[in-house]
Amino acid sequence: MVRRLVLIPCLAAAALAQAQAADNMDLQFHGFASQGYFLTRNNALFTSDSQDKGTFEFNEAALNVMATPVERLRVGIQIFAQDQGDNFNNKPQIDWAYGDYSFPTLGALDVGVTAGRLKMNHGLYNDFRDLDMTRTSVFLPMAVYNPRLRDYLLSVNGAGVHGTLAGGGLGSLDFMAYIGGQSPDPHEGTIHDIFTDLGVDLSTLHIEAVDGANINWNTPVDGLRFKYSLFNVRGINAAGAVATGSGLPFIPGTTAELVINAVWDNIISVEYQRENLTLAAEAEYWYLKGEIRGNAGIPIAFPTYQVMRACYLSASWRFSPRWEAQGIWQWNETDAVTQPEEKFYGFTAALRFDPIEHWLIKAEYTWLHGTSLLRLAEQPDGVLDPVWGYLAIKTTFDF
Amino acid sequence: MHRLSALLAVVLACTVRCALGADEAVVVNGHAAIAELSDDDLRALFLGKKTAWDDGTKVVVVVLRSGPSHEALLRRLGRNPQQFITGWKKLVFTGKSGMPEQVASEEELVEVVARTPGAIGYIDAGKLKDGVKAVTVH
Repeated sequence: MVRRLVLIPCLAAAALAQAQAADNMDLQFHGFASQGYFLTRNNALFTSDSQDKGTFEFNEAALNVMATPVERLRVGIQIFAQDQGDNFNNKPQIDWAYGDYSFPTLGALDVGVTAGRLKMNHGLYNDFRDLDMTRTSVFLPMAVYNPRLRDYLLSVNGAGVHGTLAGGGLGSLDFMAYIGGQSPDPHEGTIHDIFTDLGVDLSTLHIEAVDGANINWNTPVDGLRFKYSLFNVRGINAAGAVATGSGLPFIPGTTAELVINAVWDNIISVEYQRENLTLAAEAEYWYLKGEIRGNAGIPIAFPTYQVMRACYLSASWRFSPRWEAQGIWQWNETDAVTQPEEKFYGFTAALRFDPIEHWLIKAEYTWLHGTSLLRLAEQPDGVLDPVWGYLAIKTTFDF
Repeated sequence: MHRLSALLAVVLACTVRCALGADEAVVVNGHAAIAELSDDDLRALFLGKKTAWDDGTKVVVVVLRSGPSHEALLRRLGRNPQQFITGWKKLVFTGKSGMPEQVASEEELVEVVARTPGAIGYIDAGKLKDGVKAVTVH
């Protein structure tokens, strides 16, 4: 609550600074804040409190500043904080902070280079996961945009090249490629939760490299685009002490280690935007390979893998200047050592109301069949119900 | 000299009107070394994908909050007002661009474009004045 109160004067100060600084210097300040309510039925998600009574621990805030200190060079930083049940707890983090240089146009080609902490441009909407104001629904389809993987798919510390090739009658191609790494906190996030659930107290977590590329074709058909995105994560190493009663066959007190050699993720996307209609579909294929190492009297290692296939279809319709509705169908199948061929599918109905340009109110109900998004440790009754759903209501202000 | 500029502006406006097939004109700051734009350029500029002119000057997009000229621009870009502003918010909150400057009237738009190096706007072709120039879009 104290953190939320601190955010309010910060936002007000930034808004004031925007007015004063924008005229004198080439600076822009922007930000947003949201507050929501999250209620689940039959299972809990993000916190055991979500079931039955619901939780207000569902908010986000961000502040950014951008400048163009010299011609063609843009620099900026965004600080972001969020609370999502038991996760994040409004801890401020650097969402992105980078410099971007645009080269002069060369014929039909515009190219730029960028370095710093970059947003991971992946699929149609990964950059915008936390940007509630950019979509109708509260959550992106979880089949493809799994909120539990958010920490590892959001930003990368590295460098990239991006650009656009104008193709005249053939439309245009946008492209981006990036290389970098990540330094996640071993004391929170999904990898920490997986280890905790296995009875291992995670103490170290390293991710050696995260590389990715994507290409987006803006077709000659107005509003129709296709995109292919790929990323590869290498050298994930997580280790911690095995606790008594661990689910792993290792001696308590010894070290258990998860070594993931590679993660590959591919998304094929299509989006069609015409007048008040937005149609989107994405299909994802994810592959992870590694091994778990430990001490069972003698050092042992056994392989682990995960294959995930997922897709969704979405239709969004702005039926009046202030109202928008959306329907989503989603499907996910995960095959892993710990979850053999687990599937889930679901439907979402969402409604958004924009009283003014910079303020919105939205609600979403999602019905799901399948449990692979859930964590047993979060369930108040210790049971996973295969049929469940959630209601999310949210209001967001931006400037 | 002013009369000559005004006459040239009117001639250019007529050219633009023919090129756009409408009564609107794309205008840039009068000092900009730009005489024409491709349709791809126009979209890249007004959708925030192109942030610097060829001479390195920062692109400053100036748009109307509402009105027939703004609606004509949105039709040309294939966006409704919400999609247009959402597209810019996506850029702003991922650090790819600042927001366009929004103004209440065509007169104000012309004024802002005239005093801002690198500025570009979209107005009723009949509102052209000194300090801005119309560019041909092909």
